[in-house]
Amino acid sequence: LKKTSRPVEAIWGSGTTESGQALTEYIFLLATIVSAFLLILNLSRTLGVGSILQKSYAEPFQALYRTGDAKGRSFEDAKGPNRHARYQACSGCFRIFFNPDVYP
Amino acid sequence: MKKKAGQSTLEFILVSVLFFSFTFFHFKLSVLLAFGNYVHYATFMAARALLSGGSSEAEQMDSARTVITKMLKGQGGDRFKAIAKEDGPGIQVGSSSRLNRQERSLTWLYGVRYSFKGKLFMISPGKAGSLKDQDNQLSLVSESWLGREVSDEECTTYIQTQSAAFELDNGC
Repeated sequence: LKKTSRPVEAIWGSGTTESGQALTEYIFLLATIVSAFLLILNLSRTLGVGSILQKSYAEPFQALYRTGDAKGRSFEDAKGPNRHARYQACSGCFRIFFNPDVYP
Repeated sequence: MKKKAGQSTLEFILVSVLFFSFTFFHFKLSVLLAFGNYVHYATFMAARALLSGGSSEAEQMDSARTVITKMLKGQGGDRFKAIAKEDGPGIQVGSSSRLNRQERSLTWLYGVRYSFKGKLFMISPGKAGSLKDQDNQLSLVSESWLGREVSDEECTTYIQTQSAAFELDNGC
């Protein structure tokens, strides 16, 4: 019987390697990872994740920087002052720094 | 594939965007916090200048404005513009909108305020513009309310309204 060549060699001819397969798979895998990464980024922008994060970490810090308390509100806040060093809950009361209780 | 050197380079590029964006985020936040302390000091020093007596209220306000301008402003605007920039009204010297001279608990709202904002991310995590501008900004307000002593002008005006005789010994 005549010796037949291997299937790969029959298609591509002799002398070819299979290294292209790994490269192709790597490109596909990379494309998938990059696409997922970009999808998450775009989705986070669409859903306003940045705003949610901003609200969760920036607002307490802004209050902390301005009034010395993460839950503090200035006298000019629309909701009125809260946990402010000069805040008086009643006439004649005073507050020593950020102690939660109002001293008579 | 004859060489695999390109693979690690490509992976490094992808990872480095995230790595450097978070590294610089921490760096930028630290610098912004340090600058925030400096701004607190600047508003306090300006409020002290406003508190001190002067010939007139306008002079006291000018003194306060001079102090805070010298500390925070340069020839081309903001002195540390790489860290933070003036925001909204910027420097405000004088009374708060809540000042009420008739109500004792609201008479202290007189001083100096400075509003500024700084960027948090130097490199956007991901592709450019993945963060909205307002989400990348931290707006902060520093204020110091020390009140103001009456000026010589106000003191003299008050004395003139009194019927009793006064001797001016610069004790206004």
